[in-house]
Amino acid sequence: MDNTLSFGGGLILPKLPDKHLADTSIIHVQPPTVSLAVSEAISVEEGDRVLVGTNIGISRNMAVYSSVSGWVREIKNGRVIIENDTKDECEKPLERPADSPGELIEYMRRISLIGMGGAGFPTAKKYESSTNVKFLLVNACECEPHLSCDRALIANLPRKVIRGARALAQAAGSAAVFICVKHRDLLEILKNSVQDENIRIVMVSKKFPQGCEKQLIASVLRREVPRFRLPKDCGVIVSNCATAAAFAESLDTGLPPVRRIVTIAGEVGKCANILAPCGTSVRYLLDICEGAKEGTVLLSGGAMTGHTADPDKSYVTLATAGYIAVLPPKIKESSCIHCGACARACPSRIVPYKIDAAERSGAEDELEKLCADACISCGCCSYVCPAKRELTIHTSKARRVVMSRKEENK
Amino acid sequence: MSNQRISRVFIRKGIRTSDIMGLVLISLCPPLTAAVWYFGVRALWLCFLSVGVCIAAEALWEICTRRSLTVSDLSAAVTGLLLALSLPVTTPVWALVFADVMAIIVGKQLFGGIGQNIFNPALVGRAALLLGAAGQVINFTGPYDGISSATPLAGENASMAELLTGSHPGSMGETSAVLLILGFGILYCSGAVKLHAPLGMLSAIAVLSLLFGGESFLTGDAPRAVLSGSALFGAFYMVTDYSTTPTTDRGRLIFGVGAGILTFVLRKFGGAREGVCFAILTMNLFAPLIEELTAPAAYGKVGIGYERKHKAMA
Repeated sequence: MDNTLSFGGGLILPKLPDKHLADTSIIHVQPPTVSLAVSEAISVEEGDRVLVGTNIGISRNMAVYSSVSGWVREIKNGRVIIENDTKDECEKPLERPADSPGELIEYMRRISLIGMGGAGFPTAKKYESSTNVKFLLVNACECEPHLSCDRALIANLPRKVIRGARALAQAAGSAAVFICVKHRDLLEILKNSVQDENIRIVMVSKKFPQGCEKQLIASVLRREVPRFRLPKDCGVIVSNCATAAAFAESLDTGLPPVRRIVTIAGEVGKCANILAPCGTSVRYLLDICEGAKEGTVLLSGGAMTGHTADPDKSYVTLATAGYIAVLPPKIKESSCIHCGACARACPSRIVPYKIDAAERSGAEDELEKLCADACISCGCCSYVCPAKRELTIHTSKARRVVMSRKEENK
Repeated sequence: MSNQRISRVFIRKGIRTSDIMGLVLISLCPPLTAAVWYFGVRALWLCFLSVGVCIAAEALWEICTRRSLTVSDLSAAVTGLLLALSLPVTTPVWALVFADVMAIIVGKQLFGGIGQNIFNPALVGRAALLLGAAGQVINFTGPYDGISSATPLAGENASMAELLTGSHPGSMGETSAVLLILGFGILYCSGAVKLHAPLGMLSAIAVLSLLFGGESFLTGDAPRAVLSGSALFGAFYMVTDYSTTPTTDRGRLIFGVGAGILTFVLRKFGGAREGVCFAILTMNLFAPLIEELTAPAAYGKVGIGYERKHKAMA
């Protein structure tokens, strides 16, 4: 065993063939059009000239900025479609905030920064009212087996990640920073780039789901977040390394983050990490990668925790880590044989086969007793199940049942 | 592609239920070899018959109750082979068929099929035969000569070498310690089972037999207690059954130790040579309870002794 930091449960997933993985080189693209979701207060009209960083409206209570320069071609179904003139002309930069937590968090809100690990939680919300934060974990573990966008980011721009980590730490009130990686080469790259004593680079295990917030905290800090609490409540904030890099870039340029690295991998012609503006059609990215193979399904996020996506209706957002083409497994559910593999694999130490049975029979009281709320939907249970039961689907459902019952009882 | 979002795990481990059951069947080949070697070709025919009857009984039941057929998961075949190997070679065909049907129907299907059964089906079949037709089964035959012996514990008079190789009276698949260990080695090395339950059971039998098995304190013959009767067969193939034992490691250890203690008690005071069978069947009843008591606290659940161990931050 290596002496890297790890957590209980989880899996070592078999290594994928190289042809299903993208390397760390980054391809820059200029799509002909981008399509951005804007639900309200659309501030542009068809034919308007927009620049990179022009505010075009609001979506989910956050300002939406144009990711390219060009003309607004069409506004329909809550989406603004912008024709790209590929000149990348920029708006007037925003004023750089002072290095105080309040101003930095206000700046995060202005630039609509969201968590870029996948969930897309507003970063400002995560950092505000976070008093007494002692530790900031910068998550570069990227445990979904196909993804390598964070790896590409660190390999190419280690200093940006470190600057971003420092800025995030200031926003959190001078917390100690741990940048968590799982590859030795990244560890070396970051160690060579860091001069700050307050920033430590740590190596964590290659187990899945190492990149999950709770598992990362357990691995690095040897602590667990109590049930029904947030990491923030106990002095820890976890942010993705892409979020850190985007924040650093935004502070440098004074422009909101409008691009990210997206991994296209799996059963495609040529896997790649692509730096794409938000709103780029996934179909366009797939075409760059020579298309998905026959019979595959396209997944957003990854093969363990992702969901199916239609390439013609999906567009890159800041929270999009990647799109993966996989051949759907030909499996049929059979009866549980009570082998306990799911419970051993579960990083939350719950018993998926029992929760699965209780959920299917509608025993809601039982679900609470079995701590179904601890489920993180990582997919380990379904992965190992020899009876090929859809344990993750039912355990996640059970989690929502317990959470909503708890809300009602409040 | 449909527009509906499907969230599920799209990569799966290759192992299926039938792979695990197939592995158990392979691991039963060494004891089967011993059975044929010492007890003749009849042992092989009985095993084939038993497997066939179990599969047929399961298929018939599932057709009659309009459930989907599950014989392809090989669990019925495992039950059939386990049951046949745990009976003596002199068992009449009708008795074997009776035991098979009891195992599959009463032991397994009445509870709802694979994974739902409380008792080990093979042991249910064996127990049914013992209770219903004792005289037919306890007639243990020695290898080669066909002379029957009805010792309370088969192999009581066998030498240590005979116990290891298997050339002594007993059930078909239970006599050869060496080949049983080889068979279990296959099962263990493939990662299908862990050592907790078998080690717990065998060490409990060994320790108790050493302490209290003899005429006076500390004069017992521990190796003989472990190697004779059904102890090894039970420890390797019965207490490692998934459905009827706890799933936690600690639970399996407790289960094994409990089965070992009960085996010793039944052997010593019950007068029955069927200590192992009834000990494991009794422990099967406690499996869900043991599992619940040994389940770890969920992530972040603050419980007794939990804060000390995990430094939970509140």
